[in-house]
Amino acid sequence: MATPSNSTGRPPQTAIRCVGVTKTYGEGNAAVQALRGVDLEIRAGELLLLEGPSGCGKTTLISVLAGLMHRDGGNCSVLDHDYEQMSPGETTLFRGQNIGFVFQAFNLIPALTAAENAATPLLIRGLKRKAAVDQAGAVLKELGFDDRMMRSLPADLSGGQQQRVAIARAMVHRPRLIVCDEPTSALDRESGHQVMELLRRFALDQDRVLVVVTHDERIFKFADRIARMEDGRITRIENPPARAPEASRKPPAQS
Amino acid sequence: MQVIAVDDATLTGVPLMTDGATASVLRTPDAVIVDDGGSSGKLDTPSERADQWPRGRPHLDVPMRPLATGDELLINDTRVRIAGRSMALPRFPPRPLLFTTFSTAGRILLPERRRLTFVLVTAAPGVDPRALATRIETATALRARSSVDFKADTVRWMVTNSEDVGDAVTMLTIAMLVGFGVTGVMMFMFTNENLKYYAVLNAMGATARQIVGMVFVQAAICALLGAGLGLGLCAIAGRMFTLYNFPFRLMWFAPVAGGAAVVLVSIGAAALSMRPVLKMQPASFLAGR
Ligand SMILES: Nc1ncnc2c1ncn2[C@@H]1O[C@H](COP(=O)(O)OP(=O)(O)OP(=O)(O)O)[C@@H](O)[C@H]1O
Ligand SMILES: [Mg+2]
Repeated sequence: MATPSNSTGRPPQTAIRCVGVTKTYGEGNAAVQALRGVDLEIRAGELLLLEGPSGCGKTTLISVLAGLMHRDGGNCSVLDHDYEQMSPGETTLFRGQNIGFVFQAFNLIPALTAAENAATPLLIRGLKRKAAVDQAGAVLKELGFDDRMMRSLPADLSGGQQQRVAIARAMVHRPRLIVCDEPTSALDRESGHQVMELLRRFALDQDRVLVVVTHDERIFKFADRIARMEDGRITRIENPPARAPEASRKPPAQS
Repeated sequence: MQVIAVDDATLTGVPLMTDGATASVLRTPDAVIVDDGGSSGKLDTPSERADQWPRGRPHLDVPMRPLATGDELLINDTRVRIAGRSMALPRFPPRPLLFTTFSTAGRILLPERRRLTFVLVTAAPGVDPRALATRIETATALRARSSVDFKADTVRWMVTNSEDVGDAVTMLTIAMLVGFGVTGVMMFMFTNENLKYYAVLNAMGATARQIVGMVFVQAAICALLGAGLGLGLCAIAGRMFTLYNFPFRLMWFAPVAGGAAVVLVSIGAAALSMRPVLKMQPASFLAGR
């Protein structure tokens, strides 16, 4: 397995361990069993892709992993925390400290500039505006943004640029777990590759974990492992198709 | 025209006069004081001496000016002389008003069975007006009121008997309801539109308290803008009114009451739009649905 922890010689640590996680939406006749006993272990330093047919429970699973949703049964430890033992307020604070999100529909705040959007996790933590925006600007610069683009509103940016702002926002506060729900589905092939490359390069190191939900076979090669989900269960975990392990970590040609 | 006759000896009841004059001008024969409050514009005299009675012809369209000290008036075939001008508050409804002594009034007014409508009494120093009024009532079996009570009675009478008060209250109520409805619906719509972003912020670690704070800050800014615009427009309107000599007074409690109403309306509107924010499920926005 080509995880960075191998290169430092440290044994890979388990960052997330789920056993028999279940989740049901609704009650009675309308009940939908979205998760039917998910077993999953993710190591620190790993990029795990989660794929499977529509409605198989991928979004539900990462919502549970990210502490956005309660599970009904099973055990789940995320970065040594169990959300079921925490109050809603503690869970919210934990999310703010430790989890980054990349949403399918970007979900940037339209009234804020790119740099301000990327700075929101820092602002939520109570950082001063200038410091937060400067710090976010530095991250955006690494993602290939110039000063003009940083001052642009999301509406004036292309889809690929917006998703890069979203990635900057997901990692500006150095969270230990980043979950992405179909981060490339709104992007063309080129932008999709760029986004995945940036995620690997900047959001992943030996202490961090990336979980990416996708339908997009074109990005399979960026994964360390691919978990296949079907009907509320993880049915298979496999290695990506012929990925030269270090290839995707080279800087992109443009920068 | 209304004539108020004051006691010949004390001259109690004449309001403050212009040019520092005092009520003692009434001590000259056939003297009257004309009050600006209800008379200006209604009881005027031609500006040109040539147009004035009795030398000129009947005058309807000649330039006019307010009555001034030295002018003469013919009231019921008795000639009186304007001895000064007083400055009572404008009355509602406005009517020309003259002050004179009781004896002069007895000569210029037509004979009536009852000539005494009310007696104005000044309490001696140290005497409580209300206690004095009670004493007068028991002694004379006539209604007596201290000026404070009299004002209160008048206000109460206006509130119960005048439609104007009811109209004003209805208007204000409608304004409040419409304001509440419009701002409430707008706040609700705005918050709902942004629900997705509140959810995103919540996912990223913004606490419920921070988000509630955001909604209230938004309401507060709306309220401040609205109150500022409203008071500003009101002040401009008032300024115009006074510039063109319409009576207008903004009393201290009007902006305060208006501000309180705005605060109430905004808090209500914010609270109304708070429900979906507090009930939202951040997870349901994750996939961009
Ligand atoms: N809020 C909800 N209420 C009721 N049922 C839901 C809710 N959210 C999801 N479901 C159902 O749960 C199942 C799993 O949904 P989920 O969104 O996790 O699937 P998914 O794998 O992310 O699908 P997609 O690839 O289309 O995004 C589906 O059958 C879905 O209809
Ligand atoms: Mg999904």
